[in-house]
Amino acid sequence: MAVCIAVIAKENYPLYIRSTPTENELKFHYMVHTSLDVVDEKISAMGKALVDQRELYLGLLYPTEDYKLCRYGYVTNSKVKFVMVVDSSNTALRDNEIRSMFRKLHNSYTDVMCNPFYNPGDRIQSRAFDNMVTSMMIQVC
Amino acid sequence: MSVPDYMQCAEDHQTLLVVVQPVGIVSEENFFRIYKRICSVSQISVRDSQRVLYIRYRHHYPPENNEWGDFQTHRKVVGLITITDCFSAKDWPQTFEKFHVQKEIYGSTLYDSRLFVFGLQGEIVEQPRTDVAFYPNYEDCQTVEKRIEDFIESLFIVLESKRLDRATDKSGDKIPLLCVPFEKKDFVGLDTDSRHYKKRCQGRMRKHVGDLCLQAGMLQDSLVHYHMSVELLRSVNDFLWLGAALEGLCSASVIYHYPGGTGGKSGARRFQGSTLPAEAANRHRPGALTTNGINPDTSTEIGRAKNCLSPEDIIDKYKEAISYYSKYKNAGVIELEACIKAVRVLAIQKRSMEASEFLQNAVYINLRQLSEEEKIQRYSILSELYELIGFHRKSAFFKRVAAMQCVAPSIAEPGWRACYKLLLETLPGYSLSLDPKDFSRGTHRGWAAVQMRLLHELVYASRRMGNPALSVRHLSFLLQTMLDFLSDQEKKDVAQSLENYTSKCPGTMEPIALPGGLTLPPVPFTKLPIVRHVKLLNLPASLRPHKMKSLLGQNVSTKSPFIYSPIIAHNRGEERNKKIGYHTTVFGVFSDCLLDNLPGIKTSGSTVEVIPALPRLQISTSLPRSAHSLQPSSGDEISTNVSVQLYNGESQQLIIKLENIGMEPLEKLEVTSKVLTTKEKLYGDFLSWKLEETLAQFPLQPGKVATFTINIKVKLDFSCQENLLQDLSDDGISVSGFPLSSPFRQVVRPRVEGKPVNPPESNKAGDYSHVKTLEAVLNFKYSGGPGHTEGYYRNLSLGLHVEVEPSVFFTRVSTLPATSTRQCHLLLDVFNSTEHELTVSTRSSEALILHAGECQRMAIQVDKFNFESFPESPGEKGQFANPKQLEEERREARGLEIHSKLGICWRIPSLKRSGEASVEGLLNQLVLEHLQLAPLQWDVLVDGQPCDREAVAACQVGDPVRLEVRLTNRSPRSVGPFALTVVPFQDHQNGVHNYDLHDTVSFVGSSTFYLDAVQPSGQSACLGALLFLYTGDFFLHIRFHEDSTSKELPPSWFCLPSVHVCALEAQA
Repeated sequence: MAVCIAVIAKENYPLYIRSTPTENELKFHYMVHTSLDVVDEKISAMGKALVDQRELYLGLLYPTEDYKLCRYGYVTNSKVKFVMVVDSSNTALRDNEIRSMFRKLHNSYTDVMCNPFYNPGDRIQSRAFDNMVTSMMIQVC
Repeated sequence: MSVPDYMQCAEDHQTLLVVVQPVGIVSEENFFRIYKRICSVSQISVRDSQRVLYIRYRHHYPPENNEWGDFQTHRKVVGLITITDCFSAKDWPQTFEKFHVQKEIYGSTLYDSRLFVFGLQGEIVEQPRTDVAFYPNYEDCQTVEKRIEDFIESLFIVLESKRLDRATDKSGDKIPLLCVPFEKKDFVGLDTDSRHYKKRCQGRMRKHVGDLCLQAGMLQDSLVHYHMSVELLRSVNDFLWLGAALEGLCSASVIYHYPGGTGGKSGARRFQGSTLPAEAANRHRPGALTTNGINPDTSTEIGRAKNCLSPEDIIDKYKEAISYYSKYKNAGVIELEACIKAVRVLAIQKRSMEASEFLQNAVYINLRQLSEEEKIQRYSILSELYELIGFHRKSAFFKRVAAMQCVAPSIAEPGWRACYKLLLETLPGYSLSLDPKDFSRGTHRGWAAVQMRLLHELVYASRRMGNPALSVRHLSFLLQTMLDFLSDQEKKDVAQSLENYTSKCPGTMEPIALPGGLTLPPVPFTKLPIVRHVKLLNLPASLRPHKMKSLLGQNVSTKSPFIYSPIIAHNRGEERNKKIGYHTTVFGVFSDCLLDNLPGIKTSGSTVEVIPALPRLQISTSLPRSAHSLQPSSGDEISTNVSVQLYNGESQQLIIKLENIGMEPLEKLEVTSKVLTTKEKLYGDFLSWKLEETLAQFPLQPGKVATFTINIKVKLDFSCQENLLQDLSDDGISVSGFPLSSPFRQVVRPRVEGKPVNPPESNKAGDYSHVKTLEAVLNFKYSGGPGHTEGYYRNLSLGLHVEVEPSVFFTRVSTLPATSTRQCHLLLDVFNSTEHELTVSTRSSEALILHAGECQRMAIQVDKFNFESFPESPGEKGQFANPKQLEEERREARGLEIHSKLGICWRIPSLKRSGEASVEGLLNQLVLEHLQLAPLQWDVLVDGQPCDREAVAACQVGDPVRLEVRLTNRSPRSVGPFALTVVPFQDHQNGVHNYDLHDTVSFVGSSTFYLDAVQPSGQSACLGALLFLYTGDFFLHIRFHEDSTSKELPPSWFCLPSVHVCALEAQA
């Protein structure tokens, strides 16, 4: 179950961040914000790899962080990052599941970008994207 | 062992730990002065060998950590230096005793110790002692460094001997088991003879020797010992010591690979100025073994190059070591420090990901319950380490945690200052700058929620610090930059608290300098209120500077010898660069907002030209201000309007006070007036002034007042042309005709009945419609000060609104010939249109009293005017003016002449107001002709006596009376010839004229006279005689023959006086 999903711009500011309303939202802001250090590090390490071989999925960002929450990262070719915080206490999600979630997220994000009325770099306010995120946050639990 | 040293780094393993402590009462300042000097001796090349010794000084070291000295020898305090004050020999023994007590604390591990005594002099000092050094005071102690060097050398000797001792006693004696404090009880009752136990002893000892070698500067040897130890300990699963051996291996390798050190700045300092010896030592290391040739055991080594770990291996071994440490709860500090050391190495290797894993591990090492202070230290160090590996966000996160820890509720005295300082340090991590300029480019892009939280914390911390100015600044910043992200309720809350804060400390535009060197720039509220549109407005007209055109060229040339000077141009450019903005006060925060910084406005910039200062003139007048604004067509912008109500013909003084309210002296003043176009005909000067008197008071210094007087004189038409008043001339006086009856009897009969001409109501209405308005603008151009030299002036306009009420009207004007041909009577019907009693007087006559609305006729006897004598220069004027205009001018001139001669004045006694009345406007051509002295001057002489006016010529019956008619031609042309007939008649005084006098009067000769043509300015006369036969009053009427010649000339030219002859009885 995803508890927080964030889309981060190339310049590392949030385009979209949403967390389960039951929990302290600020906590997730901090969590995603600090994850960016690792994301940056992973991206810079990846930079040397060939483009076509590049794996967009970054895997687990902080494996044994507090709260039993795992953060996973994903980066598009345009350096837009997706960060997902998953509550691993009740269900052990497989890597493949996480991957498919990110892929769905990426597709939906692509749809947002295709909207001619959306300015790249603005906050994402698409309802379709919102619904998709909501479904992902409920889906697994 | 419970106190971790968060500053540890791998190369600390090669140092000798020396504790420097004060004994007795030593001032902190003095202690640290000496401590600093001692610390400067941190590495020593040992004389006989090429080895280098590194010293780590501590002024505080928990003795319990010392107990782990066998485990890792760099944790062992091997030297003690105490510093003490001692001023008298009496105290000496006591002081020395204290030194010994101090030694006891670390006694078991100390190799050597020193006591530095300051202040003692005398006998004791004379005795040379190795362990005590005496100095007279803290200034005079040059040999401290030397002493320390000696001390370190003595430490080295002990170290070296221990190393050799341990390294050689291998087989024969039983090797003691080294152990850490918490192990001691575990080994009770173990079989000391087992192979297992022996191996364990050997392994641990090997490890220990490795440590000693490392400390003694024998890196290669230490590597060999560590390797052997690892093999031994691995075989007996002595994990704790295996970890230590592995870590030793790592440390030695790190020292080999990174001679610059891993400990950041402190590490680098250690090598400052001595990198060369260190490198030299490295270079000689390969030979170290053979030159020393001490350890045969090391001959079993497997090749030196292999002994040293590769950078990748170092990390692997660190990982392994840490995993072994983690098996022991009591070794938490060791594990933590190992993690930190590994992180430092990884930071140098730029392997951030792995470093973060080590750090992550360090975060989860739970030591015993930490004190608040230790927590702060722990989080700060974690933050620093994250910073070191480039994880700025994580670093900021921990720094913030540390900041919050400073003010945790469990702390009795919250350190708000420290909290604030730490919070400030987190700003870069959250990519938040406190300069509002960085937020002026479009919408803010960042972690608003997190940044807002941080700002709130800054506000709170600064408030608790007792610095309201700071919290106001942070709060304004929050409101200005995060406005888009605040919810309505949050906006309300922030604004509310901002208002609360500013009530005590208003927000300013001053930058706030923080002790840390950071400066908080001012925060102008460019978003509150929102500025949508900006337009530059010109100054009010009265303040607007004008350029004197003629002065421009002059000005430049006076300033510089060059026609074009680049310096002047440059100065102008500078002036142009000044920014334009506006000033607001919002929620108690004063803001100076520059237009350039406004987000919603895209102007290409506005240019304001700033010229040097000019004085400012303020005008106050004796007249009341008026709300009237002048006709819109006036064009000028009028700053002040004054109004006055005057009766027609009245004049009034307008006193103007000129006050210089500026900062510059007022030097120049020019006054011009402009009468706004009106259809009213205005006679005389409406406004007149004398500027000289005012200018005499110049230059007018700031704050001074000068007065300036203007005469207002309203003289409108006194006729009532178009209107209203019925003709008063119902008595049939003809203006044009010849006087048919004796004029002297017709002398003005005042129309006593004085009936109001119109019914009262309509009269009143008429009055109002008669109020006429005159408007004028007075322009004051003034200048002074630097602006004057630059050629600028200001223009202040004063609007003048004059309402002219009618005073008197001349409803009708006519003339009557006077008895003399040189004079005539001007008959004026004067109408009092005011509501007050009014008197009218002329220069010559008595005052005539008129009641309100009354009309009376007044006759004024006037000498006729000789208009032809006016200077005329048709040659000049004629070229430019058409005849009509010329005629008009002439008429005006005549009117003025008549007016000045008549001097008609009116006075309203009840109002104490008076004025002139002018007939200028109502003199028509006919009247003028009558008032004009005819160019032909006729004189009639009876008996040689000029007969004119009412003088009666007397003659005797029977005697012939000589009658002479003389003509003087003043006209520019020749006149005549004329024929005149004398007609005698008698006036019966009842309107009957008796012309039938053939029996009474006889002519001697002809009754018709002839006059020849008279040249201009010529004279001619004709003579005749009369004989009166009876007594009586006779009149002679001299009549012209009407022929063609006389018709060409105006009839008034032939105005001959009547002759009154009284024939008397001849005297006996």
